[in-house]
Amino acid sequence: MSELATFTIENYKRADLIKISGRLDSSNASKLEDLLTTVLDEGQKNLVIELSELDYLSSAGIRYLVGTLKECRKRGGDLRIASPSARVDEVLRMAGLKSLFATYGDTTAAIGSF
Amino acid sequence: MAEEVFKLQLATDEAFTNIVEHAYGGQAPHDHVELLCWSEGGFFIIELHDHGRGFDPSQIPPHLPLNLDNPQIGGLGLHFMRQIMDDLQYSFDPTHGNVLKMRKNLPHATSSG
Repeated sequence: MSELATFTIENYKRADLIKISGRLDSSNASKLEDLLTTVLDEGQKNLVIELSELDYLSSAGIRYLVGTLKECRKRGGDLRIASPSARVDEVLRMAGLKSLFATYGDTTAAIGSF
Repeated sequence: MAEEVFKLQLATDEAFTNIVEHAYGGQAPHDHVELLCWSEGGFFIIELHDHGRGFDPSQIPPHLPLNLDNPQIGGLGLHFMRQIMDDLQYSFDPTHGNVLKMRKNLPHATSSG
């Protein structure tokens, strides 16, 4: 069993980089919601979510990613995904979300895309 | 095999979350959920029992493709359960309450219990 999710934020000129690692499910997805709400409230509208070390993602986590994507676009920004792990990529595919999120192979490309 | 275990875990997680959030309304600390799993005839079977509000997945329409104008996020957990498992059966039993039985064809799952 992997660890519960941990979140780190790095601020770049073009976007905030949020790295989520571990396990994101219904028991801790509200922490992601709190974090993303704070970031948006601080005025950031461009987000890169780095998911290379996220081992597990359920619908509860996806709910907040989609909600935040919607908020970012409403503000003229975007939420883009960098280097999703194979499992996360498969979960996004099963959800039919691969076309909804712009996805990049690494964080440099994702941040540079803004 | 690890990927199959991951998907079975996701289907179980989603079924359990649906029970906590919908059958028990997210606020029933004294209620409980029983989880059983076993292999039988080439299938891996996961069964969940609860005593909350009934939930028959066959009454829920298929999940539509997500888009931002119509994010059918509420049904995403059931969508995963349907995608991962070969079939879902709901029944009500006076002893066990709501019974959700999910089967996955997994020919190399030979042990049981």
